[in-house]
Amino acid sequence: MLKSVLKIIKPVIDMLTPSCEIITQKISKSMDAPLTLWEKMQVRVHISACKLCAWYRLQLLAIRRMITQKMNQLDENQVTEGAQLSPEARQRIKDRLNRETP
Amino acid sequence: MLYRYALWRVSDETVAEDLVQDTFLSALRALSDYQGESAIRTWLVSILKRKIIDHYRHKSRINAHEPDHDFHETADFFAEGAMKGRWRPDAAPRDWRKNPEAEIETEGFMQVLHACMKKLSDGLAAVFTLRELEQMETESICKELDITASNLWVRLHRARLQLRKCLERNWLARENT
Repeated sequence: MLKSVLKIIKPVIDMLTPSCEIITQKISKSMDAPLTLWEKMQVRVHISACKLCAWYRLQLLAIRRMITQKMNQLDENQVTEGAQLSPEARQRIKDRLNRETP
Repeated sequence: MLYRYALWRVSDETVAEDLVQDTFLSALRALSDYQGESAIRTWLVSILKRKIIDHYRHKSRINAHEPDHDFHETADFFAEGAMKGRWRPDAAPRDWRKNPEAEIETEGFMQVLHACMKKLSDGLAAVFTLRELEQMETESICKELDITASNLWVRLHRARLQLRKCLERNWLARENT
């Protein structure tokens, strides 16, 4: 009897209190699309009680900010660190371009 | 500059070199169309961006029929059984007490990110690069890679789970030593 009742109410409980697995999907989705009001509420309630998911959300946002900042610097040519084309690679490209030039 | 731009986005030296070469070849062929409205560098970067998208679209097509447990498997991160859906202790986020953003100028965040991205499957690397590094809108990524929005969200979720964990282990751990 108890098992049958649990079987019926479990989906309802799951819907009201989604797991970390579900909440992290919604946190990720929130970075790409607007969440519904219900989803926003589920995330808010969950992270107020789950520090791991709260950290997860903050860390994803921090990673995005760091990438954006670094890529903007790179695009503005302010970044000089990192690899450069080797002299051999430059020569290979030059040779190919020379062959293509009429 | 073009090489570095490509390398950050494809995480492979040979591919980056090929993309730069293809960019110069395309530019050479289209030189008569160049109106001089933008700086030559901007024009070359716009050609390279297109090449990078094509590169990922091609890879995405090649791997379209491969089994994609990668996109659905979350057992590495979340528990099964009685604790189903909770963070596994070995995969749970740790407290990043020290503000990592303060270190961005001096530490090799991008190098570690780069190394972590190399560990992603092609399908995950493609969506993460186009979304976070190229900063493309989700609709455009779906169109370019011919995938649905839900498929994109699943792939991005999976990529973020893996990259966050990899960064925590390899970059943050180094920062705190």
